[in-house]
Amino acid sequence: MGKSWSGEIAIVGIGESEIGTVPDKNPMQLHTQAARAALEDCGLDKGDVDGVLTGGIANPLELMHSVLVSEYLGIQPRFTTSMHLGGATQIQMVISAANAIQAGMAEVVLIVSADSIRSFVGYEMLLGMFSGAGVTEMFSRIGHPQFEVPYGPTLISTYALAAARHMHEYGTTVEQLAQVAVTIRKHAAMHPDAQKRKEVTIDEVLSSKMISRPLTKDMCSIISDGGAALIVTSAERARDLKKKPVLLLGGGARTMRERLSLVDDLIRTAAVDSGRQAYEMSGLGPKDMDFAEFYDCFSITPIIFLEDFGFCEKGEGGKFVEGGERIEIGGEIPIVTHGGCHAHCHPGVPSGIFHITEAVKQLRGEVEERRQVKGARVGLINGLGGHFSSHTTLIVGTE
Amino acid sequence: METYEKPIPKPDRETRPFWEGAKQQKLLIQHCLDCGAYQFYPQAHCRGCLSDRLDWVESKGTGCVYSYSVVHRAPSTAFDKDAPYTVALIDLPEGCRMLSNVVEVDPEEVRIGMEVEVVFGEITPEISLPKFRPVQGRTGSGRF
Ligand SMILES: [Zn+2]
Repeated sequence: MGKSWSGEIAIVGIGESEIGTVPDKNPMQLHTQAARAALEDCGLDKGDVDGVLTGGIANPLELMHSVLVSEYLGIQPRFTTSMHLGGATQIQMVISAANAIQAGMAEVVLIVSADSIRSFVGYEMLLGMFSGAGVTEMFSRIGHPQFEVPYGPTLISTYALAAARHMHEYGTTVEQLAQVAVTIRKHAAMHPDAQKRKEVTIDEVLSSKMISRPLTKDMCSIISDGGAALIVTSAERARDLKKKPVLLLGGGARTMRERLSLVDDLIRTAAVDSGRQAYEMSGLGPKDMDFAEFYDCFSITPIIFLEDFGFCEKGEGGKFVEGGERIEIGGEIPIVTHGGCHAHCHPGVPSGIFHITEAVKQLRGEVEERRQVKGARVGLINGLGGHFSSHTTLIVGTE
Repeated sequence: METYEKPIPKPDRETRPFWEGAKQQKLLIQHCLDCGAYQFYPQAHCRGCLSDRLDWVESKGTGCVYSYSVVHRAPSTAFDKDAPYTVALIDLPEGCRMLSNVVEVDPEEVRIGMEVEVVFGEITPEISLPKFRPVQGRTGSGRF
């Protein structure tokens, strides 16, 4: 077994691009805004960066993405690649950066991820190859082209199938699903940059447009432009930098299956394994967590993750969220404190990077007072990609 | 007959026998001659033991709804006129699971655990798409 990097690697800089609707910036500009802000945040120069990791963009014509981004930034990293694990990508990039730094393959790694899937700036070539409807069609063709796509599933229906099964096995209710959205929207309402800042009630969530039963529009991700960047380096190097370092205490990952028909169990996910690995590495457990930035692409996922990460027993996630008191800021385990994919910013794959920047801000004590988790010292972040396909976990803390 | 605008499966080397079976109203799954596993979706190697000695066998053609969702917002205009329609995961008795639609029943009446049976809809002269309907199928819209 290799040497653990728990406590030895830190996130030292974070930066966010303009987010929400950004009709005048292409993905490269958004990457650059975020990277520049992250470098300024920690006081390092781009010349110090010798590792660059990116998560690619939705445009399939962009190949060698991390090298293109490096080129745009005027950096020639020795350690670089672009990763494709959907919403689990961002944490996997942090884990990979830590591995590379620990192994001496890089010293300062820039992780940057952004996209323009609301405004589609910079997508002219792709849009020229397909008609407008063709692009929608292309992104909708999720799943096996012969054995899934012909039946008209959507990414949303994947999560609706999980929600329906959870309701069937454990008696979880649509009101409980709606409560997750209500709480996350409440957090977003306190965030000055969130795309959706209006609070909603359970009734409003339930009466929003039905998308794929039982999921209504308000239980789904929003669509945004934007992205963020992280600077990762050794805890030793971090000591001389501008901000209090946020240490990586534990990391974990596990895949399930990409094709939905091969996922054995939609409501007992590999987040269990990914979480166990991160807990073991950090020597911590769910009781030690001050907050949990769960990947909240749909309102069912925080309910499943509360169970899979051990905050409650399997099947009790629905009851756990009821009323919202236990999962809101000030409660037992505040979740998605920035508003997440539901309301803050969801530019597709890059959205998980905001769960990380939010955790860093919470641990530094940099958020608005009413949104601040009091005395936050340790937090859990998780990522989820595809059809419950890839799961990643990160535990971060200040000591 | 109106033209079929939804995505049409394109059989390839790994899947052609499945679609030839479907044309004859047979739901074919693969059976590994080395480890005995059944698998769906089809591929050239067994996902259990990587053997390429796979046989095609006919599934009983019955199943049970593992989960379902009624899709109101379709993925593309081609599916719009079907919405709301039911996307479901169907557990086959051989241990495989398929993503499909539950048809010939009002979406409001579909239930998890419901017993279903395969029904084939000819969408082109080459392709018949297997879907599922409740056993003792009630008459529904008949829409495929
Ligand atoms: Zn085998």
